[in-house]
Amino acid sequence: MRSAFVTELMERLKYGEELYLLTGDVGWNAFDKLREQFPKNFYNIGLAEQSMVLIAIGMALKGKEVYTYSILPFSAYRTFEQIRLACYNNAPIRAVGMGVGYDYDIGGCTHFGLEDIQAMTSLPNITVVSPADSRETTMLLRQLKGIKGPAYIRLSKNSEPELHNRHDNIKIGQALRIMDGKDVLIVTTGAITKLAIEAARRLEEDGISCEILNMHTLKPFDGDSVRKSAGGKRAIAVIEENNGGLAKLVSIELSGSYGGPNCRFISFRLPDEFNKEVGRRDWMLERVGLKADAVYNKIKLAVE
Amino acid sequence: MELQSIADSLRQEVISLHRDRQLPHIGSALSCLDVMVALYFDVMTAEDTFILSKGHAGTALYSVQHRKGLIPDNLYEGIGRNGSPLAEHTSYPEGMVKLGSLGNGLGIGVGMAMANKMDGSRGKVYVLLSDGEVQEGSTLEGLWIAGRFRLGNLVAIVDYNRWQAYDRTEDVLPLACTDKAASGYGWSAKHVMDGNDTQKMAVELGSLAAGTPNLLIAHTTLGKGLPNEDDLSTHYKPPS
Ligand SMILES: [Mg+2]
Repeated sequence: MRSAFVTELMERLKYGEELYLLTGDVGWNAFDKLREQFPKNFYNIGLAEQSMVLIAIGMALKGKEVYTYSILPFSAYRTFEQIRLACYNNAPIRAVGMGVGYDYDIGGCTHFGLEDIQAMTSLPNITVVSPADSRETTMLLRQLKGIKGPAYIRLSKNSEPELHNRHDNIKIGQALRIMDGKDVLIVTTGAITKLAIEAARRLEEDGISCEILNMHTLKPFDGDSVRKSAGGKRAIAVIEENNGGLAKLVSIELSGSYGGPNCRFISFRLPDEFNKEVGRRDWMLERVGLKADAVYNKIKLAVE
Repeated sequence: MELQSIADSLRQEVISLHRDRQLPHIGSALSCLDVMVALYFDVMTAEDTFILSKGHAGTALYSVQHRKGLIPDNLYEGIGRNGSPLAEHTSYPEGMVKLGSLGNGLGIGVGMAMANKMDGSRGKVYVLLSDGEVQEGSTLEGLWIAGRFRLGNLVAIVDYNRWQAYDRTEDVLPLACTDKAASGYGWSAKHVMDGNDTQKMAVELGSLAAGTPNLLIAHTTLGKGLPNEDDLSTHYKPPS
């Protein structure tokens, strides 16, 4: 996703568009070409993330298109109040958080992105996008051009070029149905969508058909589509690389009644805790049940 | 009208407003009113931008903007009443940076000054800070960064009334953005001994160094013009 992000910015710069990338001393190697070819459009602000966002607000209020970049916690948490000010002033900054969930695995908890869905979607005026693959990243970046307020973009380190073939239907603010089915609704977001697809395919083999809604936009949240798709389902499963942000968004929409008779709600998420042990991402995700096997088993049990 | 007489009459307006609506922060408003009068009635052009980083002096700014015709009478009259879009911490008019949380104005000013440079605009950016909010690390970051980018179009004014919300500023922490420190980061910096002398402030603001960001440390009096001026109670208690 990061290379899709850089490629998209460079393409636009080549076409003569004016935009600026500010980094908090992060992205060595990834931004080298951009910096070389467009030195006036790249600023390493230094290890001063709050100021990076404040500067972006100032530039954006003067009409500039400006992206701020750091590892997710430093982009989204260190700067939370500055992003809130961007929201209050409706300054169209683009804050990019790199590395969702356990992406920085061995790196440890300071670098994990466990809470950003809750934190960022809690802010008024903001648009929050969470692409599932590289092509979604490109398309969402393009569509953000039409958004007048601030935006937060959560990027995964582990992404596929294309997880599905419905990119043409991407529209900011609208849930994207990437698989059709009548028994189970899976709601997901970000690169973990890959896991949702794997589990759904295995369930299909057992005759359990799954609809997958990919929430590439987390705010504004397309609750209408979620409610509509939930209708008549035997189970609703939420799959996320976050400590429950998406499950909460979904459950707010479904409060009251939802689904078919005896519909089950299952949340696959990261636990709300700081890990005492770390390892590679796959190992860490497996330990908390974010693995195709485990998801398949749990959903199957729920509908049987 | 002479600058000082504008400031004097606005001072009376702000005092009555705070008395009538029982608003706090009168001390902060009155200590920096004269600086804003100098900026709005003498120094700034249409291309310039003003940021009130110490957003709690909102009523002083509103009074200046109202006199300038930037805020309509009915909204100005409505300050402190239910339904007003003019919060105590600056929130109006549209196009002004809305602030109130300390330590954020300088960084936004840096971004605006950078954008003006990119555009080749002659517009300057003026940021008014409290002496307390310099303690926010983000203000110091702004000092470093503005110096590093040699933002000759950026002017910071510290309202040095030597009080912050709980104590004397120097009893909490020594002033972090001294003229020496700022010079070290590439700013031109100086003290203005009578920051409540509007004419003097206008002269100082009109004769700044070129090619570097400028810092003016304006020595002011909290609650200037009140019977209990220079007393911390003016930070909290509306005039009676
Ligand atoms: Mg003070």
